[in-house]
Amino acid sequence: MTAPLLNIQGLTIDFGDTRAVDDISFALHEGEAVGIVGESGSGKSATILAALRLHPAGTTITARALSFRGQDIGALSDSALRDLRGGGMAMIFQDPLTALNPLMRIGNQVAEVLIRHRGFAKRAAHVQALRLLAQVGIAEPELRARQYPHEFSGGMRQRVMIAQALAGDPALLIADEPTTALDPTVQAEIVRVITSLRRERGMGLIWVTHDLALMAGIVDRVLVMKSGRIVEDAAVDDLYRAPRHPYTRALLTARPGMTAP
Amino acid sequence: MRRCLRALAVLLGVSLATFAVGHATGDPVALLVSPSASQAARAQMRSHLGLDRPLLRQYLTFLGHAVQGDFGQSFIYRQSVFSLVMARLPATLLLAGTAFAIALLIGIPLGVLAAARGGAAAAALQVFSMVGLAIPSFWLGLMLVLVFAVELRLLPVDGFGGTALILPSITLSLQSIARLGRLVMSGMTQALRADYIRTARAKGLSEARIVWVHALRNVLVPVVTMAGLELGDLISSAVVVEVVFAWPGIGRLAVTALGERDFPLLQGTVFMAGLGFVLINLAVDTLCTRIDPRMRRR
Amino acid sequence: MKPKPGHTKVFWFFFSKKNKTEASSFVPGALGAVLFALVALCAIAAPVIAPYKPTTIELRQRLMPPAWEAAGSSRHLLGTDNVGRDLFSRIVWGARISLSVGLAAAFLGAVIGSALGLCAGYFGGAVDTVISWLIEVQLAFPFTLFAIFLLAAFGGGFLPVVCVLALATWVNYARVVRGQALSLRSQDFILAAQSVGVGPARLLRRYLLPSVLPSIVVVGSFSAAQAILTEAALSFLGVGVDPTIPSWGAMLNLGRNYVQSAWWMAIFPGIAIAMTVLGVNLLGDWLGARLDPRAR
Repeated sequence: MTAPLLNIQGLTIDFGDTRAVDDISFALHEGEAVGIVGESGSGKSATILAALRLHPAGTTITARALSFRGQDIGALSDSALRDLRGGGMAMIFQDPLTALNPLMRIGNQVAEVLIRHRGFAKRAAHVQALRLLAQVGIAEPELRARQYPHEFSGGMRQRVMIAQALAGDPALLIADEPTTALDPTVQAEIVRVITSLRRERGMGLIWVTHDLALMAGIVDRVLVMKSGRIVEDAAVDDLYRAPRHPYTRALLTARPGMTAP
Repeated sequence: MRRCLRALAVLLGVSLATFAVGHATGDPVALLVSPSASQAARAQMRSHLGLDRPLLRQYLTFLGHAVQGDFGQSFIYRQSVFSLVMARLPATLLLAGTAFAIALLIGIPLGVLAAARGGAAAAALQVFSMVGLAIPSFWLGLMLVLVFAVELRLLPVDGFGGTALILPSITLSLQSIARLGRLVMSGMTQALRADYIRTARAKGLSEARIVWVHALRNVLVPVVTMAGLELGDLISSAVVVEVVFAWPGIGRLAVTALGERDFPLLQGTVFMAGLGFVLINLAVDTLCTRIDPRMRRR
Repeated sequence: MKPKPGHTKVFWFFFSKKNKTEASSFVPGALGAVLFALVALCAIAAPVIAPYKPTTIELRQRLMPPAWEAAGSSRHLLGTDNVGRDLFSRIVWGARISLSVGLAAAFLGAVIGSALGLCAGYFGGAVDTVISWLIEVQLAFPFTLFAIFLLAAFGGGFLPVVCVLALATWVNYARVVRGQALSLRSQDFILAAQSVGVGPARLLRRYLLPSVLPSIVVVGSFSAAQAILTEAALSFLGVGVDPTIPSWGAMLNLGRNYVQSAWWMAIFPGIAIAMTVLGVNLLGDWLGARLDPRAR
């Protein structure tokens, strides 16, 4: 039996005196898509940041197991960790305006991942970067690659983030509320880009959001988090049809029209 | 283009100020003529300046002369002020330029490293810069002379050229190093907390690349702005350092003029220095817009 | 029925004990206070502290090294200068000039700079353009040169030097105050006062001024430090305040000629300047940390 793509067992995260995540456990398998749903403060972002050891200073993390394809993430050396970040697991953040370097051209930001993780030479990396930009649906990539983030719209910036994340050819894509800051019409586009590219490459996916209704059609399984705990872990259809936990029911009824697909 | 117009307006102000000081003391002739000059010479100066004509006319005459580079003659040296200043200018620029280069080469990396390491390194830089800013440059110069020239006999006490450049430029650069180092450190500390740095880490980039390629460029705009101001400050502070080290630049020229009450020389020097400053600031502004693409929209 | 919320709010911050400063900014602040107090004490109590008069010439005691050296004596703690004047006494007396000039210049600069800055920020338009232009012209001059130029025309002495130094510092105040006035003028308490017909003079004085006062104080401390350094430089160059009273800068100028034979003449006045400036700067930093972020 192959090791799970991402295995988290007994994870507890403390920020000083506050407990953000309280003994949660779940496993993600190759190619599987999971949604983590919860309101702010539920611990969902803290969980995924911990997976890449990107947590802020002053955080204490303990876990029985925190591993990627069987390798203990906590025990990784600095250089092995850097290999994992972007190469094994890649992350997309919520606000693409602040998550991209405002003073670096888009093309370079994508290319540097290719250089770092796939060993491309500079020129080849830029050519490949153009291909990636086209794949995520950016028109005129040659022109766009030379531009800066502020010259892009929100949706296009998010596409750039996706291209950047895919550049390292990761096995797992983690998306932290990627559509929350976008207009509804653009949201649908980004969802489409992520889901199609994921299926094409057979990547695992973790999609963090506060919007339970969004998860239909994107993920196979949903984890509902509240106050640092996982209160429900079920296949997406089961969740919508027969939510077990009162909190899940509350989340569902907050969005009328989504209870019976 | 708007910047050029602003610069011109400032230049106008500079000329007004230089002109006004000369005339504010009541009798400009007393200032502009050597104390030992004869009555005839004074009368000649009076008509040359057109002191009987309205003030505006006088100002325009002054301006007209200034534009042609005519600031009168120095009494001490009996040469045109313009030629004297231009002859000494390279020495001051050399000194200020070297000090500037030192400040950049030491100050910026110090700030970056202190921000990246944090903790003790950052505290040390803070202490160093506080002390550095409190030390008067002329005293530092004297101390360095004491140690390196007198005690150790390694470097010359004064003069011009190669080895004589070392002590004065180090002296001059200290305050700039302190200011730049602090600015870079605080800017970098802030930049390193930004979201895009977290993204860069998530991409698995090396810490060195994150600090020197990603974070540093976001600090450059305020650094270049301050660097431009520093260059101006350096030229200003060079006056005193030039005196300590007998460095033949315009600062020393001005002080000599001061000692001999050679007013035309002083006035010309100040005006030309002001002109230089305005040009430097213009250049710095232009440089800033080229660095930060977000500013180009203006 | 006078609306005065800005007024009282600011003074409460200024003197409130609730704003606890962290240890990291307390220590340097305390050090600054100690240094400054030391210098102030020297300035105020100079006749009491200094063992000799600063002008007493004792040619037989000339060029004596400090007390801890072999040739020194405990009668002259830091040695004597080239005409036998006690260095320690001269340094103590020198504090008077540095502090009085520094504080006077900072104060004068504050008055001029804040007034102009407030007007520029509050009235905007043509007033702002003119004042901003003045600021830029001022900044276009390399200051030491300009100071020499002015003093050559007007002569040395206490008042001209203070005025020239105020000229150096007014810009700092003006820029900060102008920025604050610009943002404050659209705030509610100003608009409320305007709507009940409070005139501009009163508005500036009673409403805007208290709000910008903390910034003025902070800028003031740095300007005082800058003024002290510049005064020392001017004295060093010979255009100082008064050749008869010892000024640290002038002492350094004298000491310059004796660097090889009497190093103490050049070292100690410089240390005095550095200590004073450091003290004032540390105090300024501490004040800045205490007043700024919470005032928003």
